[in-house]
This record gives sequence, structure tokens and C-alpha cells, in this order.
Amino acid sequence: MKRFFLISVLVLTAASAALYWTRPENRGTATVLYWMTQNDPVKRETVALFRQWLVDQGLPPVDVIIDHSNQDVTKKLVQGVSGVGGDLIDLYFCELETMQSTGMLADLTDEAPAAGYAASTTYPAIVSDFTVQGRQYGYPRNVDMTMCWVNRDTFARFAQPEPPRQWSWDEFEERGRRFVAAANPPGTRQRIYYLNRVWPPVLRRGLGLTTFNETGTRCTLDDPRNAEVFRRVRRWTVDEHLLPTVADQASMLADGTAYDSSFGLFAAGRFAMIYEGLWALIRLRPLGEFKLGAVEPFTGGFKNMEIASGAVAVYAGSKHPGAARQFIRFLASEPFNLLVARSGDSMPPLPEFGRHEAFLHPPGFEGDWETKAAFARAGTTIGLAQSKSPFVLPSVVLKIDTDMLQTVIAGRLSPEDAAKEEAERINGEIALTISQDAALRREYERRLEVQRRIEARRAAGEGVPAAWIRDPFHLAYYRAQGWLEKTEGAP
Amino acid sequence: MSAGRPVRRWLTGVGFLLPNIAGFCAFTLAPLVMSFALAFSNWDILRHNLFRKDAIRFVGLGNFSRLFSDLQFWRDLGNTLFFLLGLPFAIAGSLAAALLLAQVNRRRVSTGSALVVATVVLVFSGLVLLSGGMAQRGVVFLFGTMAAAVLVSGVLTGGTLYRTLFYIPHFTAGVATFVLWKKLYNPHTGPINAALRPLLDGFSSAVCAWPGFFALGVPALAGCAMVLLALVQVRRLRRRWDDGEAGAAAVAAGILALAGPAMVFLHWHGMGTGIAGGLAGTVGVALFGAIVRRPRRWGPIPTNDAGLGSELSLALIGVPLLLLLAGAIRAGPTLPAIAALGIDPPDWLGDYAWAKPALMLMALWAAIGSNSMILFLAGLSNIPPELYEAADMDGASAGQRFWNITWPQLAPVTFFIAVMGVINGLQGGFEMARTMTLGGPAGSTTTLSYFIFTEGFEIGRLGYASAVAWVMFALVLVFTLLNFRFGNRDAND
Amino acid sequence: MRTTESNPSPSTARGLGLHVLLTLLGLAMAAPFLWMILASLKTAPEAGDPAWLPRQAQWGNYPEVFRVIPFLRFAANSLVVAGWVTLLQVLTSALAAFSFSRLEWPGRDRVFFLYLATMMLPGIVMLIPNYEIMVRWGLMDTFLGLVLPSAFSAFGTFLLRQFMLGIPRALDEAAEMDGASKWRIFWDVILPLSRPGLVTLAIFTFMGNYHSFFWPFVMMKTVDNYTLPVGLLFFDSEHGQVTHLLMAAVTMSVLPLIVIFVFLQRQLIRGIQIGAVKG
Repeated sequence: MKRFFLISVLVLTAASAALYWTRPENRGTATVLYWMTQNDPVKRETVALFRQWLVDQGLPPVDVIIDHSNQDVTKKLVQGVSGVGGDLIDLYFCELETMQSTGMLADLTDEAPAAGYAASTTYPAIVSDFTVQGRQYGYPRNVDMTMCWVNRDTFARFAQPEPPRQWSWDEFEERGRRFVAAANPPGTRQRIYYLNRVWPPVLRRGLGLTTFNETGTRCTLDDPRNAEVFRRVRRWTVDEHLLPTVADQASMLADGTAYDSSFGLFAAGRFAMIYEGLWALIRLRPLGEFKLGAVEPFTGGFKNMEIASGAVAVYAGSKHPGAARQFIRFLASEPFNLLVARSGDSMPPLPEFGRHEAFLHPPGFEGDWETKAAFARAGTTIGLAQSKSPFVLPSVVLKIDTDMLQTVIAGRLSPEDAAKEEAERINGEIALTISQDAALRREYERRLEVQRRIEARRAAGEGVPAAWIRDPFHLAYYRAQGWLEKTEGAP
Repeated sequence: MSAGRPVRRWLTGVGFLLPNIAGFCAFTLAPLVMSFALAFSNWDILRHNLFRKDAIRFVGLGNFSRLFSDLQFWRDLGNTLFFLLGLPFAIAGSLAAALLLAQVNRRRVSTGSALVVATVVLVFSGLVLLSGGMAQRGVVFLFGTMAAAVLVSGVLTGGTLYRTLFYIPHFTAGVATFVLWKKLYNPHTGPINAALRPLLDGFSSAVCAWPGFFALGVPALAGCAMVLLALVQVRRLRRRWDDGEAGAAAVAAGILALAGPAMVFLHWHGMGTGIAGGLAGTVGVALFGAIVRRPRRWGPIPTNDAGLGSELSLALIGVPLLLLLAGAIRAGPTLPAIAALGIDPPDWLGDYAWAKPALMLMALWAAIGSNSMILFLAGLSNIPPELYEAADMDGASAGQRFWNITWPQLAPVTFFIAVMGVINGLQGGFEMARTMTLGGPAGSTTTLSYFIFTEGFEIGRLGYASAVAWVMFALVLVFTLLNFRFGNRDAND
Repeated sequence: MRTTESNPSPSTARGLGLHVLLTLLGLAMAAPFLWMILASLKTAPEAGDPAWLPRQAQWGNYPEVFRVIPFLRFAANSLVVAGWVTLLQVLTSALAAFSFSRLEWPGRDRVFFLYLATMMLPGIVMLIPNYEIMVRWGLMDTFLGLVLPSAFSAFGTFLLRQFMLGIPRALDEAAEMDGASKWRIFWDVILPLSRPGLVTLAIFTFMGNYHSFFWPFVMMKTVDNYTLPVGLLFFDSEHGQVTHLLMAAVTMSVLPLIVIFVFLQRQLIRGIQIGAVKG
């Protein structure tokens, strides 16, 4: 028995030592950066290109290791605040504020202009994706807009008309009903859906409503218009079967297969349309030959589309801060922008490359042409940044919104009650934040005062100065409605 | 005894304990104390960490008062308790599996007869294969072959193979199980719905063929079954009362198990909740009085809570069954209309009503062949064979042997499994929710542990999350003490 | 179950019925597992198909797994971590169990009760502080940080104590008469007699830790430090539909456990028969 224990100890020690000495850090001498991002062909190409770019610039070599199983927000957060985060951190939807408030993101504001990656070099609409209260914490690696991708073959198969470039939600419902009836003849069980998902914020904006008020001090979703959005989505899902249940989508999201399966189902003709970003091209190209189209998101009135970007930030605890900053510089370089343009991974961060031939007519993918033009056009006409409030984390808002929509679809709450509860929960979070953070409380008081003045002006039928309005949607909506102060020219 | 002896003994005792207790203090006790302190603080990982050092304030009972007004907390607590309802089924399943496995060596089977059966199975599945194409019938052939092979090797190895097969879910534990079942449950591409579709089609066409039977016959049958079950239960309770096996509390629990579903049933049939409750309650009280006031003819006078544990366990299985029957009565008349449209298999993980049962079904699969089964097997083999021999001489039936020997002898094992099951059940569900549903749809699969995880590690409120964790601990404590109070009594019988 | 072997029932028909029933149940239990193996042999498009059988077995999926992720390294990490935890837990638990079951010292029962009480604690209560301890000690992203918190278990102590209580006292009293020290009694008398108990604890611990997901998931940053359950997550978002590769990887990750179980299952069941060693 003693011998058995002794042998076990020896074997385990030997195995541990072997594992220790074969770690990649011990294999080469180059600096190693960990990049927390997705692992797709484009990212791998990016890493190779970065190495080449360093050589061209006469800089020492750096190995970038794509760390794609750490992209989980929990892991980024927990490891980041404990000193072992990845050197380069991708900021996806709703993640910037969470990461930034911990202090784990390096502040790049002061060095950005000299290094060539200042916020002013990219699209103004996405600056809020990598800046917080005027400080810059990263740089976009792509700019993305979400539209309805159309599988034109599917429409042809059922002899249904393709959707128009611009349409209202009534049209969507009408055409969708006819499509689903044609594609699923009575007596068959196979369900072919019209669209994979909808995005409530865009629908709300269509009715002139967004998550927060003009200054981000209050959640305004306790509104009949929000209830109307809930009611429509429920009808499209439960009664008309235009969409699969949102809950189903959420459950697939848990391990990242939602995208994969919706792309697969789209290619196979089970979803006539999918609501995804331009980056979907990366996934759609390998799925075979089919005719693609793209149309703008449908709304109940005000035309809009959400623009978002994937930004890369530098970890404040990185062991190689210099090398990590080189990578950010690389994102604002020509070779990288050309790569994004060519690969279909959305729009390049530098606007001039969005008009580049490599973007519009990528060699080998001529079929992309129409869709890319549609994206570029919509991006410049109706694209708007996400609504955020500094007093509540966007990730919390997203969680509550998803939860409430699912609750309505499951029939657990009426749309009106859900709208009320949603606003109550988000406003509760705002109250909690300002009760715990003195600095934010002062900012809140200031904004509250501005909000009062805005409301007073609106009540008196006077114009409101554009500078007062913090929310990108409200700004655009005020402008469209002519509610802005007349002296203020449109920028 | 010299004065130095206790000190020396203490030193030796603690010396042996030292390696364990050092680690215990560092990784159990210290965290425990820390976590307790945290529960009264407002530590937010976003505001206090390596990079940012805002002061942590102690907020007294603030976290707890917020907790009790947090709707999410109550919902998730409800979900957790709901998932716990699967536990009796899991224990019953494990016990049944162990009993079957233990039988194998008692009943010797000649290899020859097993071979004959296996050949018949093989030939039959081969015929099925020939009748259809490879793609369609191949799986039948595959299962036929497997069945034949398992049967023969099961007989040859004397049960070892079955045990391994039953234990298989345990190998794919954790993330692997969840990933696998997510694929199985997929409403479009999973094999479960693929198998259900023809069955449901058959069912719908049967309903369409005999609408009268399903609209009226099924409810009638279910109603008869309900009445029959109620009669059996009342008779059983009366007998146990007479025999002194069940006390007043146990009888009350038994009656309640009948009155509860009856109330729900009446409520479903359009009666106001108050009226339904009053009616069911009156009948229940009358029955209770009839049994308890009955002059006891034989048996000792039981303590009030004698047999309460077994009544409660029975209620856990009986109540869902009665509710199912009540549901059949309610749903029967609407069946033909539904069937005419075709019945779709459920969207398991995506449907609010189905997500919880789907996860429970998976957990049941994983639990039957788990360590509980091994514990039961060990417990069974510890029962002295003399007991069975004596029972055989008295000519006891299989049921009597089980209830009078096996069940009481296994009571300590069952108790242990139940306690561990409750502990694990109350704190479980995190990995399941995380990998399979993200706690959805609409929060229906968010358990307390997943709530703690999201609050603590996604939103970063470590203080609040610790408070929830301590409430969870209090719950575990209450359940365990209840278990000791009632479960142990039966265990010591 | 061995105890009744001496008296085989004459009714072959019922025995056969039992075997048929067990076969059917066993197949039902194994069916998801079987589906997994079959899915691991499909092509990528077929994996999105509800049919059980692949049109043609793609054995190439298995080598493909090694190409896509460092499977062997993940497996080695898992085995080494689980191995260390098991070894440490068995050793420290055996020592503690000996102290609780064989030595009389003041306060013993109170300390034991404390141990028992902590078994009821939800692990998640300790999660947050343990994580903080790891950060303080600089153990994030190290194997030590995975092994240490799991190496000391109240459950193991409890299990082995129950087992040791079943070992007749006459044995160690005799050794004590011969002048053996407590240490010698532990190593030479109690430990060898507790072997089934040790094996049981070892199997429980090994399986539990081989599968453990959350702690390694939070702790490990470097890809080369991942254990298998964490490494399996690599397959999301790799090249789109990778169910087939995922299933192949899961199948391979399960193999070592099946081997262990098949060889040790008799020991396992013997070990659980608390107090089975009768003088």
C-alpha cells in the first residue's frame, strides 16, 4: 500500500513536470499576447497579418494566441479583475461599460492621437462602443449593422415575392403570413419560418421610443408603445409562427450554437430570412451557393437600424503593454482594413475603406455585391448607435429585456404588465447604482436637471438644444421631428 | 491516568488530523467566515478589485432585505424547489435498478436459453432491416443486435455488463451530459422529437378515428381511476391507523394528498378557488375524522407522527399522478379538436412549460444509474440472507419480503441518499442552466445557484450573491433537519 | 448479492424475463450514449439530421479532433489534476478518519460535527471567497489552484470514518499490545483493511474532479492549462456546425472512466458496504 502511494506520487510528479515544461511560454522566446476573441478564419488571418506588419515596420516579433474559449463575459470579467486577463480583450455588445467600470481596461485617450488610432478616425456613430465619458478604451476592429438577410432561393421555391428594401412591420406581418402559409402546406409538420429573430430596440425606435429618456436618467419602457412591441412579437411568434420562439433562440445561444444553427437553417431554406450583421458573410460563404439579398429592418414608422462595432481593448494588467498597443495601432492600419474589407467581416473601422473596391467587390465573392451595397447604404442613412445609460450596465438591461420578452411570449405576463415591470426593474437598478457611487450620483443630479429643462421646453413647444440630448436615438428622432432648436444647424 | 495523558492523546489525535484540518481551515472554514462577512457588505467586483479600490461598506441586513423583495429571488427559489420534486423519482428509480441488478445472481439462466432468445431477436431485426432500406431500418437492426449481444453477455458475466450500462450516464456527467442532451432535445434535429413525431401522429389519427372515445371515454376512465385511487388510499390509511403504523399526523398527510389534487380539479372545472378549497377541505376533514375517531380494535396507540415520513414520500408520487388524471379529465373533451390540427412534439428546452420537466427527465436519467444505485446495491448485499430465508419459510410474497425486510433494512441508505440528494438538489442546477438554457425561457430554469452565479460573476455583486448563498445554506439546513426529524425515525424503526 | 448465489432459482423463464428486462432498461440508459457515438461518426451536415445512423462512418472525425484542439494535452491536464486531487484527498481523509474513528481525544466529536456540518454547505458559498484566496495567493491559472481547494474533503473523511468504524477494534488492540505505535497501526493495520473504502473514495473523487467544470473554467486562462470539460467548449464557434467533432471528443473523454469503472466496480461496491469487514 505504501508502495502504491509512493508510485502514484512519483508518476503524478513526473506528469506535472512534463506538462509544465511543455507550456508554450517555454517553447519560444517571442512575446506572447493572448487575444480573447472568436476563432474564425479571419481572426487567424489577422494574427498572421499582424506578424507580417510588425516585420514590415521593423518591430520585434510578437505571437498572438487566439483565446476563444475565454470570450465568455464572466470569464473575461472574473479573470480580468484577478490579474490574469487576456492582453487583448474583445468588447462585444454591452460589455464595454462592465469591463471599464472595473478599471481593467487601459485608458488609451492620451496616446491615441499620436499613435494614429484616435476616436475621430472611425465612424462617429460607433465611438460610444469604445469610449466611456469621453475616455477611449479601445479601437474597433469592425463596424457592423444588422439587417435582414434574404435567401432568395427560398422565396423562389415557394413562389413568394421577396421583401422590398424598405418595409413596415404591417407589411412584414402580411407577407410573412402568406409566406408561412405557402411554405407549410396544411397537414405537414415541417415548419419553415419567415425570420429567425427580431430585435425589440429597433422596433421600439420605430415607434419613437427607446430604452432611456434623453439624458439616460430614467428607463422609459413603461409605455404603451413598448407593450405594443411585446404584443406584436408575441403574435408573430405564438400565433403566426413567423418566428421561432425567442426562448429557443436563447437556449441555443448558451453554447454559441444559435448562430451556427440559424445559419445552417437559413442556408437549408428553413429560415427565409435571418436578422444578422454583415459579419454573417463569413459564416454564409462556406455554406454553399445560394442567392443572397439584404433588406432594411422593418419598423412601425421611424426607419432605423442599429450600428455596433466589435472593439478591442488593452488589458490594464497586461505584461506586454507595448506589444498590445502595437496591435491596436495595427487595427487602424491599411493592411488590416483591407483584410476586413475583403473578408466580409463587416465594415472596416476606417471609413475610407468602406468605399474601397476590396470591400465592394471582393475577389472571388462577386455574389456579395448587392448585399454589401445595401449594408453600406443603410449604414449611412438610418444607422444609429445603441441607447445606453451610465447609471445601469447595458448587460443588465439586456438581461432584463430578454427576460421580459420571454415572459410575454410564454404568456406569463400581459404586454402592459411586462412593460411596466421592465421599467420598474431597470429604474431599480439605476437607483441602486446611484445609491452606491457618489461620483455617478452627482452626474445623475446634473443630468436630471437637464432632463427637467428638456421636458419644460417640450411642454412649451419650444426647440431643444442638440447638446442637451445624450441619447443617439433621441437626437436623430428630435431632428427628424423638427424638435431641435432652430439655431442649431444639422451637423 | 497521569495528567499528561489527555494532552498527549490530544496531540496524537490532532496530529493525524493536521493535514486535513489545515486544508479544511484554509479552503472551507476561512472562506466560510469570509463569505458570512461578505453577505453583510456591498462588495461589488466592479468597484473593488485589483485595479479599483472603492471602499467596501457594511450594509447590515441591507442585502437580505433587498433579497426578500426581489421577485427574481422568489421565482428562482420556486424553481429550485420544483426541481427537488424529481428527487423521490430518482431515488425510486435507483432502488428499482439496484433491486433488479441484485436479482440477477439469484436467478441463474442457462447460456443456451439466452442464446435462443438472442438469435430470435437478431433474426427479427434482420427481417426488419430487409423489409426497409438501410437508412430507415438500420437503427432497428442496430438496437436488435445490441440487445442480443447485451443479453448474451449479461447472462455470461452475471450482471456486470448491466451494471456498467446503468452506470453509463455517470461517465458523461457534467458538461458532456448537458451538451449531449441539448442535441437530443433539439426540436428540429434531435432524435427525441424525431421519435415522438410518428407516435404523436399515430395518436392524433387514433383520436380523429374515435373522437367519441377520447372525448368521453378517457375522462370517464380517468375519473374512475381517481375514485378508485382515493378509495384505496382511504382503506390503506384506515388499516395503517388500525395497525398502529400511522399516527394522526400521518393520516392527515395522507388525506391531504387526496384533498389537494381534488381541490385543483374542482378549481379547473370552473369552481372558484375558495369554494373548491372549502369543498375539498370539508370532505377531507370528514374523512380524517371518520378514520381517527374510529375505535381502534388492535395494535398499539401510535405517536402522532408515526409513519409520517412514508406518507409524505407516497404523497410525492401520488399527488402528481392524481393531478395527471385530473388533467386527463379536463383535456379529454378538447382532444379531438387539437388532434385534428396535428399534435406537435414539444419544443423541450424552448418552451416555458416544458423546460423544467425536460431538465428533470435528463436528471432522472443521470440519477438512476448513479452512485445512489451503487449505494443501494451495497446496502442490499449487506442484508443478512437469513432474514429472507426466514421469510421464505413463512411463505411471504415478494411484496411482503420487500416491505418487511428490504425496505426497513435499506432505510439508513435511503436516508443518506435522500439527505445528500436534497443538499445537492438545492445547490444544483448551475451547470445545467448555464450550458443548456441560460436559465430561460423567461427564467423558468434559473435555480438559486445560477442566480448566485449571475449576480456574483456576471453582474459582479459579490456581497449580494453571498447573501443569497447563505439563504440557500439556511434552506439546506432546514431540509436536512426535517429529514433527520422524520426520515430518521423510519430509518430507526 | 453473492450471498444468495448458493441457491439458484429453478425458474429459468422468470430469470430470462429478468435478463430481457435488464437488457431493455440497459439499452434505454445507454441510448443517448449510443446516439453520441453514432453522431461522432457523421459528417457535419448529417449531424444536423435526426437520423441515428451516419450514411457512412466517418472515422476521420477522431483524428480531426486532435487536429482542431490539443485534445491530448487537455486530457493529460484533466488526468493529472484529478489524480493529484484524488491522491491528496484519499491520504488526508484517511488520516483524519483514523483520528476520528480510532483515537480518543478531547473535543473530537465536536470537531467531527463541524466537519459534518460543512458537508451541508452549498459549495457556491465558498466559491467567492475561495476565488479571492486564489487571487491573493497568485494561484490563478495554475494547477495548484485547481488541486488545493478540492484536496481536503469533509465527505471523504466522513466516508472513510464510517468504513473504519466497521473494522473490528480487536485487530488494532492486538497490535497495540505488541507495542505498535499509532502511526504503525494506521499504516499496517487500518489502511490495508480499508482498501475497498479507499478505492470507493478514490473513484468518487476521481470521477467528480475529472468532470468538474466551473472551477477550472474560472481559474484557467492559458489554453494549455485547460482541462477537458473546459476544452470541450472550444467547439462552439469553431467552424460552424461541429456537433460531430464535439461528440467524438466527448466519446474519447469518457473512455478512461469506463475503463476504470469496469475494472474497479467490484471493489467499489465492496467499499460501500459500510462495515463489511467482519472479524
